[in-house]
Amino acid sequence: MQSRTKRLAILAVFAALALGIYGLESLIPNPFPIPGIKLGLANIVTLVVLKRFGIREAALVLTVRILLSSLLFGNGVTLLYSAAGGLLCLAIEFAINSFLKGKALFVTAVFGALFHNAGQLIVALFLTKVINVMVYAPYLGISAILTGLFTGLCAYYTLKLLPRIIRED
Amino acid sequence: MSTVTKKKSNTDPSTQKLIKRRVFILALIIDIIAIICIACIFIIRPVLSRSKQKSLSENSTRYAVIYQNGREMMRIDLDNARDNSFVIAGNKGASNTITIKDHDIFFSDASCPHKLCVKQGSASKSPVPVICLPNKLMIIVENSAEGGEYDAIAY
Repeated sequence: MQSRTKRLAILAVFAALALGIYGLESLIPNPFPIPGIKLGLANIVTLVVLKRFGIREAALVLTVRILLSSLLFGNGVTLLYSAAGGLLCLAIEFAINSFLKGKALFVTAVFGALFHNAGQLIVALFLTKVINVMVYAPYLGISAILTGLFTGLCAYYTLKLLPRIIRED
Repeated sequence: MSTVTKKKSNTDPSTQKLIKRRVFILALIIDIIAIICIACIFIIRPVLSRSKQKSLSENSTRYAVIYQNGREMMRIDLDNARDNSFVIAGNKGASNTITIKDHDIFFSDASCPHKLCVKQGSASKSPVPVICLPNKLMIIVENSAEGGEYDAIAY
């Protein structure tokens, strides 16, 4: 019973952390004239929770983060973009992570970032109903690979440096 | 690095080998995606841009077509348009200011924080449509003869 309470508290802290990182990241101006390019730092939290706890907990933290972030910083449209990107990202990260048995986290992160951008592009395609948004696909692909490597390494070192109270049940 | 090798030595060598092979395969997939993306950026885009410049210079009448929610809402004859600017309000309080200047059209302001549509610059110089995602707006500069080309795709 105690460990369940502790787990809930830790997950809540992770959700708050993800929300904070997401908010901070949205303050960084995008230097490229292409919508959708960003570091995806909030994905670090998703990866850490996925590896430390599991798919269900990661989905929970992600859902809370997406709902709250669109409530605080965005609107219905951003909710759609975030949800499509985030859930697709989590699904592929879970698949790749179990395929690699938890090793080589940066590969998982790159695939997550790729599918995140793919999901957002698909939503953009549905919302604008214009095939031309696909022009952004190669740029988003390149940026996803680079930012995915970065967030993967961040998540790897975060997992190593987690305090013992979080690492243990 | 030492902690990594220590952790890996806990699993037996056959699974280690299997995981290594899987990492290799996935890394290969990532590389292929990267190469395709770079090829698209450096080969396909210049070709598109050149063909657009050519088709625009052949025909003297250029039209700026403004799409909202994927539907054509305005068609402006750029060669005869006078310099002005106007605001298009749209989805959930988002609004964009579109400016026509020297027979060119661009987003000059936006209500969103990032203002990516403003950064994309002139619609007639850009090889791709200038797009504002929050307001679902798009400006395409095309020939009158080309009119309706995008409708076929959009619907």
